[in-house]
Amino acid sequence: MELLSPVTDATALSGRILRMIEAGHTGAARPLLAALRRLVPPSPALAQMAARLALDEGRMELAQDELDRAIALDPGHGGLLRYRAELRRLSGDLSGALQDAAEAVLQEPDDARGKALLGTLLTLLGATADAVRCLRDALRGAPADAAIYEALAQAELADGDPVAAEATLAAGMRALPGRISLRNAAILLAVRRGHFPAALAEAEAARAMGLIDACLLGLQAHALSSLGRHAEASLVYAEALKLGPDDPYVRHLVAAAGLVADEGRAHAEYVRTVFDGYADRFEPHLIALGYRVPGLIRRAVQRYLPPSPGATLDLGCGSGLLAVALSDLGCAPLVGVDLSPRMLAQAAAKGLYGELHEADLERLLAEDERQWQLILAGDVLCYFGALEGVLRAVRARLAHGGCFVFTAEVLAAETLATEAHAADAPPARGWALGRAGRYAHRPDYIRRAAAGAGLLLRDLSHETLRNEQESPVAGMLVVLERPRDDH
Amino acid sequence: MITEATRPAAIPPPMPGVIADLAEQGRAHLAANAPASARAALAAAVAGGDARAGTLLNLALAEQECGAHRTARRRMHRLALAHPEWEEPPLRLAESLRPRRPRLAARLYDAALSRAPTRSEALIARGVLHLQAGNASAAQLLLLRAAGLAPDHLQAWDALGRALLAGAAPGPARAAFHQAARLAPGDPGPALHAVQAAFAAGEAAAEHDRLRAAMAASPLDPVPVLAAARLCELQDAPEAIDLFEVAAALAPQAKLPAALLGAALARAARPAEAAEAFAQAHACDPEDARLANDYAAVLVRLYRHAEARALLQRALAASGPNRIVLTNLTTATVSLGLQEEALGHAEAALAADPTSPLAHRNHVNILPYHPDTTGAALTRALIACAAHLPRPPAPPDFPRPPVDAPDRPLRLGLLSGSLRTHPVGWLTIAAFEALDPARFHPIALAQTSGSDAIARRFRAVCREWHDISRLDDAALAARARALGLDLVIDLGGYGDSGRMTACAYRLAPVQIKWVGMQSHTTGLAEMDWLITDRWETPPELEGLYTERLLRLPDGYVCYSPPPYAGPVAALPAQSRGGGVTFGCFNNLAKVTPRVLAAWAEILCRLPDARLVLKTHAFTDPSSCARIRDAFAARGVAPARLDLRTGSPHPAFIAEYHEIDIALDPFPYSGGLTVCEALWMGVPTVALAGEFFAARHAASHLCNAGLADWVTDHVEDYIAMACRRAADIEALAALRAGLRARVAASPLCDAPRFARHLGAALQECWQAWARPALTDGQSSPASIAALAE
Repeated sequence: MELLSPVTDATALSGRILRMIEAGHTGAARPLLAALRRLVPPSPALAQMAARLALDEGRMELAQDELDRAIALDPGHGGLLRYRAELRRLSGDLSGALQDAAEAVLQEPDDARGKALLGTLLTLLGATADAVRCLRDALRGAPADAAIYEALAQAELADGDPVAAEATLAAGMRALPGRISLRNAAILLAVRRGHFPAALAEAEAARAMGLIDACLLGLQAHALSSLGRHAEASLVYAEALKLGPDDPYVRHLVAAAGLVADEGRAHAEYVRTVFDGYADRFEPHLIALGYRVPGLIRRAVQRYLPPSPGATLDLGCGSGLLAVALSDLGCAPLVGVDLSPRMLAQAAAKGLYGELHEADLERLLAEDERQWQLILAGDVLCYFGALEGVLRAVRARLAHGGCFVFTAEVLAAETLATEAHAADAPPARGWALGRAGRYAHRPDYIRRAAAGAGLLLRDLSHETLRNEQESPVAGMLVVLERPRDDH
Repeated sequence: MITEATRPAAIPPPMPGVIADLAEQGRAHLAANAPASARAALAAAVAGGDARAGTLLNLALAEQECGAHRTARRRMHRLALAHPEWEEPPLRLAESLRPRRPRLAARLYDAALSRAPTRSEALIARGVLHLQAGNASAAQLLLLRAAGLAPDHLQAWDALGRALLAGAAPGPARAAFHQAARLAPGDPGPALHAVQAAFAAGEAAAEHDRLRAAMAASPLDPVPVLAAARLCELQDAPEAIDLFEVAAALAPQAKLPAALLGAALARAARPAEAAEAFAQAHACDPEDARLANDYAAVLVRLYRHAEARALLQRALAASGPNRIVLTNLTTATVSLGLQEEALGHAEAALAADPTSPLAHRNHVNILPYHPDTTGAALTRALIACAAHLPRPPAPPDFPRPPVDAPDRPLRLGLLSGSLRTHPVGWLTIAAFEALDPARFHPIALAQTSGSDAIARRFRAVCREWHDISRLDDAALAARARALGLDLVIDLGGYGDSGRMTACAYRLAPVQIKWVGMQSHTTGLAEMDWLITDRWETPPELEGLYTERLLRLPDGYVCYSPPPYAGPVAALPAQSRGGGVTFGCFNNLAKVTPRVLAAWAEILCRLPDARLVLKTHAFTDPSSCARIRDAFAARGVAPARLDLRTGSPHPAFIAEYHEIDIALDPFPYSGGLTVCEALWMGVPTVALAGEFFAARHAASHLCNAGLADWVTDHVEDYIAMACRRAADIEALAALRAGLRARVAASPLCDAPRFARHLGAALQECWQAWARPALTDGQSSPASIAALAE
């Protein structure tokens, strides 16, 4: 048999590893990187490759280590700094990311990617005017980069200038007519501004060019639905389902449109997809929407629980907003559970949780036998239709006298229409799936379900949870208690 | 060569002077691998009187190296007789004879061993011959002695390992292979053998750990990686491909890792990457015919037919008439539109092995493309093909349900390698989605798994999903029977990824042929029914079918238009001015010389008209030149032709915006292509033939209400194309309403189609389950009535 003489050409090997990483073949790239390290001394390019690989493998800490070591050897390397900035952004360390990105731009002032990243971070940190300036500068250096158009439009929108955002996306579409992400961004912007006919026109124009994906169809259907053209929306949702038949995100949207029977709660995969997709923008987005839930829950904890209530479980903790709101109230140990790994990474970065678990909350309640003084669910039960099961599970894990504090959306006239056309939904069941993909509940249903689960109703007050399309979303703040003498 | 140390004691003392120098020079030349110079010097020494046995044997070896085998062997034979104690002459003679006359060689090795029982080369060679003759224990004995006598001899350990493995002692075999591997760093052979032994011994986990440790210790060494990859492959572990990829990257100049990577990628339906790997392997050894064949097979899947054909032609020249090479060559050749040459290859494959099912399948797959193929000839060939398929000794028995058994949902097997974005997907998925789930439970017997949108729709619609890609036909049949299927629909035919051959074993009591290489009847006695319609199989052609016909009331397929198809554009002839633009987006295999002649005649009669042809084959410049020359020879200027290569599907269908009228090829007509053109507002002029594949276009056009675009004579086809092209206003009006018309027609009406299909399937089932209650005849009227 022929003898296998080992590779000696490090450049060729390095190119091959990069191609493998690009193609997602991390399993092959890892051993080859070890081989390459035997052939060549450490270098910034090698460190960047190693960090990229670690990141693709989901090993954030290893990626960070690789970059820290390389930057210690070569502190002025713009590429490494930019890369670490991206990594820090992903792990929720926005100020660290900003520092790296700013340093990277100082080192390589002509690098558009560095400026684009700096601009994106400035947007996330609320320095929107600086972000707009930075991203416009980046775009001049890289006028064919779709991501920069999108980032600039985001910044302009956050800076309160939706007209400029629209113009930026229009310019992007002129420069890159075949880029579907820009089309979707433009349609999404029109939807968010309530310009549904414009959103529809954009979607149709994209389809006429053969640009189509499930997201575009979902947005088109949303626009149709918002214009009251529900029958047409149903057809478009059905097409979206054909492009993504087993995609829980699409299925859930289609269920929200009443096309297929819904399953009583949002599919775990849907929740994960939505929040993983949003993780980076979640907090700014919610704050921009006038998000009130953490503040409402803080008020309820102060009113209904003793000082330093003790062991607390945060169901669907997301990026950890509740932990921030409750950080001085003695809710410790604080344990969070969420489906989205990227959300959990942001929660971890806050350093306020004793434990974080990536799990479905029903599974965690079933399997983790600890007792809690306080269980929280801020903006979580909107992913559940029927609440009986969750409430029973919560009761089993509450200490005697412990409280369950949660928010829910109020089932209103608009969502009742949905309920009526859902084939298998008896109108009186007390909850319905709304067109935005979230469940809303009737107050009397919550009262009944709580009583049925053996929980005392301490409070149920009507509150505005946030603003959507500039109108308030009606909700409830609910406090339930497990009776002290209950066995 | 023979040195003084190896000469027998009885030979004469060294000769002095010039002659002794010549003998020594000859020996040196032989050592330096210069046999011609060695032969000259040694012959001169012998002619000068050197009669020493060593000189004579060296001369024989030089003669052998120079190709003078008979002279050399005669000399060795004489030496063996003259020196009965000396083992060297019988040993050398045995080695010379071993490749062609192993039994004689074995006797000579025995002779050598009787003279020198510890001669390790003889022990090893004799052991290997025992192994080849199936005598593992005798082999083990000799090889154990060899390994003991020559513990540093790689072949001794490797051959011992093989003997132990053959003797069902995989554990000790693994140890022997490890010993061989230690002696030969860089040689992947022993390491790969060790993996095989470890797997057989149930010691895969330990071997895996050993290899991982070796990889960690020497990350640049490709051998442990390659062995680990092979082990994962044996265990069906998904990381096999990654590891082959690593091995190929670590040894970029070696053939074996790249070839193994290519094969694994090809099996995993990743042809583009497989081609890259095979290209690397092929560059290392362009003469390896088997490798060239495997490489060509993936190039065919990538539509790189011209490159595949060139490779296969070279492989054929090297290997002689090999049916596998000929089969691939047939496909590559017909795909370039060379039907006559392709049929020649298919016939050569059949001549090479007239009983080979592969050669028969190849033959029946090529015939519908050939312009001279008649319906009767195709039926005969299909019956012959089906007759050569392997079958169980006795047909399996399927008990009929009791007469009073209550109705229950029928378990409906879908047998296919194409449950994905593929003509099978576009033409059937909407029907399965609309089939009444209370009456039918679709169950996939899927050959490959894709993840495109249609594949996911199939996954959503099927109650169960069984991957059959690793099952041979007999195992597939056993699996299918264990699943208790009531009906099986074959959606693959005799195509490359089809598994219809398994139907010869019978997978279910009722077997039905539908879309998927449905070029004609199956010819298969075990295929009970064939789904068709009145346009595909008019009464006068029924005799060409061996199955009972399930004629659906409308067309035989249900088309799902792609969601990304943009709106129909205005008629290009109106916006462009001048004449019409004809188009044909079918593959070149369907474009025969007669089709080219008809199209050239149309263009001659319409001097302002243009023709757009679009197919993957036009990435090959020689195919473009051939087509342009064919038109030029008939007076059509090359500028009137627009030859385009393939594109991704959204761009592909968008190019119908530039076409006024589609021209269908013949005899193999367009199927999905016609549906797509109609959806994009482009009507097709079609010529209907005798066999099933010659009537696809007729069926789809009639089903959409365009029966007046179908003819059955070439002259009418030409005249019809010219007549339609002359009436631009009528064309524009038709185009403007065609999308809506097709959408409303039975071609796209999935609920209606599914009702009819469901009724037809129920009828097949009843005909088997309640034979007394049905007359066994199907008619469109009865199916329609059942459906309503």
